[in-house]
Amino acid sequence: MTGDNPIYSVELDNFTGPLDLLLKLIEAQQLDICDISLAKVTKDYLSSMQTLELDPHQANWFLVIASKLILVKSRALLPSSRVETEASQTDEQDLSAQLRLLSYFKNLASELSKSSDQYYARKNFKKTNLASSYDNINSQAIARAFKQLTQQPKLAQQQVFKLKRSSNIALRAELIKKLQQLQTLDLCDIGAVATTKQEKISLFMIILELIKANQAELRYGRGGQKIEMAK
Amino acid sequence: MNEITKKVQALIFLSAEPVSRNNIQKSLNIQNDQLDLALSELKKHTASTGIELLDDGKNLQLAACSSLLAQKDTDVVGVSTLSSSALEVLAIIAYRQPISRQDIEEIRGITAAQSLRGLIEKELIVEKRHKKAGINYLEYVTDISFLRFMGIKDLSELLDYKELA
Repeated sequence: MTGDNPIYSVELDNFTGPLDLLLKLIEAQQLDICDISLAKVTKDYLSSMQTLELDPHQANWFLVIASKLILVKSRALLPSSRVETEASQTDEQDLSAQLRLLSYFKNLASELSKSSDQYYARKNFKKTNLASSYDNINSQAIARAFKQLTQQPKLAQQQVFKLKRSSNIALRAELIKKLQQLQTLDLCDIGAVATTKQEKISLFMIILELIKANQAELRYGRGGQKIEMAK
Repeated sequence: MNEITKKVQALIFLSAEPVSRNNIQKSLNIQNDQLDLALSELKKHTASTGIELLDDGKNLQLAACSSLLAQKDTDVVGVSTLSSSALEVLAIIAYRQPISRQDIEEIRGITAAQSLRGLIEKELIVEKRHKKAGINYLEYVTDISFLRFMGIKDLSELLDYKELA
């Protein structure tokens, strides 16, 4: 879009609303945010609105500002009574104040975007491999994992955690929850919830599905012998 | 560190999620001023370590500064992932919280629904419901994740926060 003078051309791809568009038009003409500037950019604003493809939800916001601008411009051009002048000044000042406030928050947003350091909480870490050996898990290891799952379950008092017997969906959700709490799960403890072969196979399928969905992984535990399920 | 401070530290450390002040008070059966004292001591202690205590006035969380760690090891939302609209809305909420959607839209002159949804999904803001004179109000405030996102320990570290809030 261009104004009357091609020097004042402004790219319209990067604005986030009608007030932002107004701000950019004012900046492009190197004007201050004041009533006179608003009257000056009215034509530019209206012509830019014609080129924009706005959906109905956005269009009404642009129309509200357009009507305010037309009012500002018409009052600037037409002679009016003192009372009307005072009323129009208030409208114009309101719009100018709104623009100043938005401009202020845009500057703050720009400051926020400059933030380089962030804090990481424990949940933000992708892996906590600190205690494990880093050998790749291959098909043999997966077979070993299944064997661990089907091993004779530990005595109840030796189990770190217990899963409740429930549907596969609920079991999957419980595994995710336990992983979040404990970070690593012993496959033997997981296997204790299943009593029949079919149940153990189904349980292993859940584990593989969680790995596929990147919600868990299999890895060698401390000592590199036992395979455990980790977050 | 005194005994209460140690217990507070242990409780916050145990959870990967932010822990509310209320929960700590209930769990340790301590008063608000005792917790404040413990947190003050804990902040002094963590200042000389690789871990910082984040405190948004409601929730607490222990976190490590990005300058000490490699980005590849984390899945933290980066500043660059936010659109300019979302950043504007985030700035308005940060400095004017609690603030309603209507007030945000009045400042920006455009709907904020999409930006609000995105910021909630990224856990940078949360909805706060309250009742006043029988009317339900829905407002938005920053979440403790916002502190992590900005790399600050509390909101007062935001530029000109005290003057603007």
